[in-house]
Amino acid sequence: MTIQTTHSSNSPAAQQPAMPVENIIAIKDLSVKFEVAGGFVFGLKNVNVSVPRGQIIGIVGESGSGKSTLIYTLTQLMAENAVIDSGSADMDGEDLLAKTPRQMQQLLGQDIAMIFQDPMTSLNPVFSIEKQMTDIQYRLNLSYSEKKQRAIDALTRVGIPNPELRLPRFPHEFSGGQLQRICIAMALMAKPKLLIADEPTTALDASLEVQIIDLLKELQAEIGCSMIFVSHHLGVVGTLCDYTVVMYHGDVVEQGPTVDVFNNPQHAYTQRLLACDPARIKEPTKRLPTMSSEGTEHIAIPSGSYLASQLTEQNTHPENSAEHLLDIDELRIRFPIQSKLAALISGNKDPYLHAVKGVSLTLDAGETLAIVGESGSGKTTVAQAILGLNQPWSGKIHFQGKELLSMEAKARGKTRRDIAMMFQDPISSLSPRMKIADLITEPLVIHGLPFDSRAQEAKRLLGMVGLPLDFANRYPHQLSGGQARRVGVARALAQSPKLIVADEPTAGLDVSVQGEILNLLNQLQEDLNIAILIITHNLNIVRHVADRTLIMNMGDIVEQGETQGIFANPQHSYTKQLLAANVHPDPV
Amino acid sequence: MSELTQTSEQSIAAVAQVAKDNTVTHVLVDTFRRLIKKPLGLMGLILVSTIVLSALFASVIAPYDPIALDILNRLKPPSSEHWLGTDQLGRDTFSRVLYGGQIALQVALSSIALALGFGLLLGLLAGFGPRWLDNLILTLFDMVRSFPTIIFALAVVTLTGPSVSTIILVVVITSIPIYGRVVRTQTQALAQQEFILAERAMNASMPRILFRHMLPNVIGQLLILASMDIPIVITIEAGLSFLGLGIQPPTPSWGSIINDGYSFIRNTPWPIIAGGLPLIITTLGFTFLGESLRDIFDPKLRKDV
Repeated sequence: MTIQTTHSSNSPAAQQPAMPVENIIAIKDLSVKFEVAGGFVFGLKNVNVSVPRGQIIGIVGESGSGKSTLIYTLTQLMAENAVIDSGSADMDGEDLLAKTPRQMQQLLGQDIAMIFQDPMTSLNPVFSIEKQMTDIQYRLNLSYSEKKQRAIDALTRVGIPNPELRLPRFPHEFSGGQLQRICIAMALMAKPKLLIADEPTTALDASLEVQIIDLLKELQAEIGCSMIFVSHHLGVVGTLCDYTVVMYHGDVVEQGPTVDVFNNPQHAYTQRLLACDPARIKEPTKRLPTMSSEGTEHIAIPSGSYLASQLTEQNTHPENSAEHLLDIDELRIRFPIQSKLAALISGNKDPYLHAVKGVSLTLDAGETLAIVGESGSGKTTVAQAILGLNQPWSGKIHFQGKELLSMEAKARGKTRRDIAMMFQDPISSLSPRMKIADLITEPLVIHGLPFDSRAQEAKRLLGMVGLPLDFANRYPHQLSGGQARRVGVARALAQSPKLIVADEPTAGLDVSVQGEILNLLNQLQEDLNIAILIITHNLNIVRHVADRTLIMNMGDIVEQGETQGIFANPQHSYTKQLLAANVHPDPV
Repeated sequence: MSELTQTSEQSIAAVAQVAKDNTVTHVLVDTFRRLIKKPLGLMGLILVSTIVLSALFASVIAPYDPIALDILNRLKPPSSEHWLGTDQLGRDTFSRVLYGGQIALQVALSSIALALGFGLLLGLLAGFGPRWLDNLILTLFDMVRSFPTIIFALAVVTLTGPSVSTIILVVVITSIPIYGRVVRTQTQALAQQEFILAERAMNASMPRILFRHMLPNVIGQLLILASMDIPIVITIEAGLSFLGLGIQPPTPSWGSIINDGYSFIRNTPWPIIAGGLPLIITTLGFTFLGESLRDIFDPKLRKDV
């Protein structure tokens, strides 16, 4: 592999372009398997990866492709049932895999530092940032005030305002973006030779993602360390990394300089992966390509199912065009942040958090509306209000002409037969002690709808969403994210709703599975004339699937209209900012 | 997507399996089958059935009348005639242990089962119900726990008179808060989770959410707690009997055997050993059983799916 110094001109390697690349990490023929009941499952198969000194290497692949297994093997943080079958991982000529736990302890946090996916949970909630940041300097022979000063300097460097004042604070007093900055500061304080970042931007909003990536790039160049950056987000890897490694089912299918991998992919999997990225598809399309197809396959509504019985009925009863299916008028939702008594005593006249400040929207049958906003914009709160999961303060929600908020609880419950919700986290929204067959047919049981047998109905629904039928006997924790998402779709569709509210339907999915889920929803929408409300911050998919888009910020609607219009010509400054923050899919 | 294709025979079998899996008898048979496959579960099952059977058939197995006195042979060490020796009145300890098992199991099993049931119900309601109900139930729990068990028992005995059912009543009332609190805390944590929100979004009824979705998730921990409570309940029974508030002499109970032995510890250790042994076997047996059942009920810990 010859070095391509595309944009890391600060790195030491770049100053001597004639020299062959010196690798800080050389992984050779690494195979890792997991011990499971009745045998082994391969996690990594003969992986060969090198990390050049002072460069950033990106590892991409779908969930389960082995990218996490690879970095956890390097740091000896593997799951208990993992067994290293063969191979070595040399760091500066010493095999990391042969090190004792004690030797490893010397390396981690000193020569190798890590940044984890979720900054909210990777800091200890009961200790202050000061305590945690001084504590990790235990190797240094410095006084407490010197350690504290180093912590302040590190926080200043990563852009935390007023670090002296913020240092004694606790993790819950910081936002997600700030916490990730703190994690980066902690990781880089020891000036490591190698920084490992495991999906460090996945839990963050799009605009924060760009900031964190810029910060990482700057700091990496400043310290001159090497970096392994794991992500399933192609755009991020394309922007940040010098080299790209593509993994699939425990294999490295392709690796090389990022520009080559992105512009001239050799392996069929990489080509498909890039083709599936909605951000790279210029023309808006409702049918996204997937790993297995161009998105043109047709999913049949299984005959004999409850859904099929609704199919004919709905097509013969067209919606009254004068009336919207869903009509939300001036919806306001607030949550108390202080008790009434405490507010009275402290003289606080408005002891509420105003989550939604007067949102109005309409949605017709067969239409897709996207609500886009960052976390905290109130988009999920609106969705939950439609389902009756919170108590709006004022406003009206008309569904099929009936006002929901003034309804009695029982009558309101009955309307839920026509509204289904897909939750953000596909696995934790499934009851953990129930089998998939019971889970997907539960809506039919709850609403007392006619169906011949639970087992038969489960079989039809599983077939429809493209899952093998023996999944009926599985439990939620045995599913992958994409499989659980399909179960979520089956469950939402079982009762044949008129409206599906989908909260981040693509969160945590890699691009090809994203396409499969969206195509599935789209086709069933066409067949059954369902209205879909998508709540998301993923602008790349909104551009393709939504008819209309509504941008929310801090509980307000800042802009709404036809999706293509908004993307082509954003009016509001916030919308422009949001669109600009969307990471560009191609390498620079 | 080759993994997604499979033959239709397999799928029909899978669907038939789901239908079969949902019958009560099948669940029981399945649980038993899994239990005896686990070394710990089998061990627990053997220990528990030994204790239960020997208590049930005490009148058949016991070589002597448990209350027949033989003053000449008092405080004897184990021999071929008296397998576990004799007590201070010359009664055969082995026979007393067998008969004592009847009282011990009667008190321990029934009071723990009742306390578990009520604690579970109240805990679920407190954890998932409205705030005022939570406050009310917790206040009740705190009130009950603020009485020392013995003082509370004295009050109850004054009202109802000493008997086995008095002991059960006292134990049930004082143990409900322990189970209730554990269930409440777990229920509250579960109520925040997305799958409960998903059930509410589907308009699932409160009983459905509580008993179909919450209950299976909290029962595992409770089984462990309950098995470890069995010796505690048996010692409470012994303590109350010692104060003359529970089982009246000469009726044998494990508690009274240990207590009597304690008074004569300078003469012989055998009554204490004889009374303590079944207590150890019972505790171990139920703990093994509880732990194995928890693993079986939790699909994440169940390894063979």
